[in-house]
Amino acid sequence: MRWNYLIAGATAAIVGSTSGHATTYMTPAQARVAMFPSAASFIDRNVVLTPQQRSVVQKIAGIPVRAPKIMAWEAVDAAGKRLGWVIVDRVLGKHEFVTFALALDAGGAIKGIEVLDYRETYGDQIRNLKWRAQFTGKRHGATLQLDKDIKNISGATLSCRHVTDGVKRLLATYDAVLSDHG
Amino acid sequence: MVLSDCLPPMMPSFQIMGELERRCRPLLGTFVEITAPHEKAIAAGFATIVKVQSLLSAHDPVSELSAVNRLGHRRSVTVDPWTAEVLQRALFWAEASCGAFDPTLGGLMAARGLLARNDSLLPLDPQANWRDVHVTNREVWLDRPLRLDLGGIAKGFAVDCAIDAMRAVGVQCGLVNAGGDIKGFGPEAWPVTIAMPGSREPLAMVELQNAALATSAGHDASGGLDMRHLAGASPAIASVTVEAASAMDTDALTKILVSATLKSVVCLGLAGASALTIFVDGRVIPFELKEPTA
Repeated sequence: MRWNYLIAGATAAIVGSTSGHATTYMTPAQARVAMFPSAASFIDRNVVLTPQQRSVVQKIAGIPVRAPKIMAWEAVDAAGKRLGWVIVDRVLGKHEFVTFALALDAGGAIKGIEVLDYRETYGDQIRNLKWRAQFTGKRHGATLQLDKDIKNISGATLSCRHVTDGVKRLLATYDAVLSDHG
Repeated sequence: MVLSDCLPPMMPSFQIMGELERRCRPLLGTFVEITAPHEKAIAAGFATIVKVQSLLSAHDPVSELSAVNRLGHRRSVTVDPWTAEVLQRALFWAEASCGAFDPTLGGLMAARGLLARNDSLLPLDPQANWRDVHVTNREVWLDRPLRLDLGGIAKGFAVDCAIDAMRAVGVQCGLVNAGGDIKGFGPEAWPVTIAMPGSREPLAMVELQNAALATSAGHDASGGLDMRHLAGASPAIASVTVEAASAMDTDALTKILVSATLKSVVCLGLAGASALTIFVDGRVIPFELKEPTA
């Protein structure tokens, strides 16, 4: 096992960087198919919450609604029978911006959750400058293309609580707007 | 360990990466990312992680672990072999580290606001520790009312199980990253960046081949350090990364190393592990055993 250090040369570039780690896993279209492989088609059911619905959702979920517009699709089979729903939303965590898709079955129960896009927002708040200064000039190595090449990261564990909260909000949205009794 | 001050970091080899699929789901309280050549292997990995979570989550009141916490001091509780396996290993590391790692700190974590308080539990015995926990292959019982929390080892165990499930599907290579608990297999090494505590800037890079890596550190809301989830973290240490064969072991070993006890080196030897410690003052110190002691 060899511990390779980064490096004085890249330090300046890192300090100036404003983009953190970012990964795109799937597009909404890919997620729809992955979550409902047997669906024949997906019908647009985009939601724009009225101020009244917005406050209902907020009340049920216990967390604020960030944007009134939500992307949603109804998955139907070849006979036109409803298989379920796919809803796409975004959450802003302390250090990350996450787009995720929630699949619900025809009865409104959770069928799956996929992260579509994950962006860390650390780059704009550089800390530990004093700390970093101790590295400068001490290590050698090549500059890495951070966003392109480095995608497996081991660090302090980041909480997924914001996504869990976002799922709660979408369940409330489904209940208030999309479901048959909504 | 060869400290490669004179060598440029290896540029990652991505020949096979272009053919790989990567998915990410919110599980185990964090983001779990699985990379593999096809969806079937990824699905097998996620299904396994969901099963481990349903057995071992300290947050889920219907998990097997929660059942042990409710009933274990009254009678023995029958558990899944996986629950028994991870509990046995947790007790092994608790004994080896003289309690630097201890799976009975659920009460402490609840007091720190990291676990929900559970009013259905009897008042916990403040003297309780891992020696009050007894595990056979299918049974668990507790000598005193205590609250098990496998937060320091269950994620690693889930990663090991997911990798096994992916191998069983027959794929050539795969990587699981559960919020920094990482394990990879396959003919090529996986490049992994170790992020700086706090800022998450890239700090060191390792090439991981058929091995596991875990990092323990903390972040608070402002990007600073938060060590509340670590029972006795040394104030001098900012983060610890451990590499070994088993993700379950690397997960537990990071908790032992952040407490900087006399047993740290012994424990690394037991797992044939190497480590990279980042100190609060900025020093980055790699450690590798000259000869594995076990």
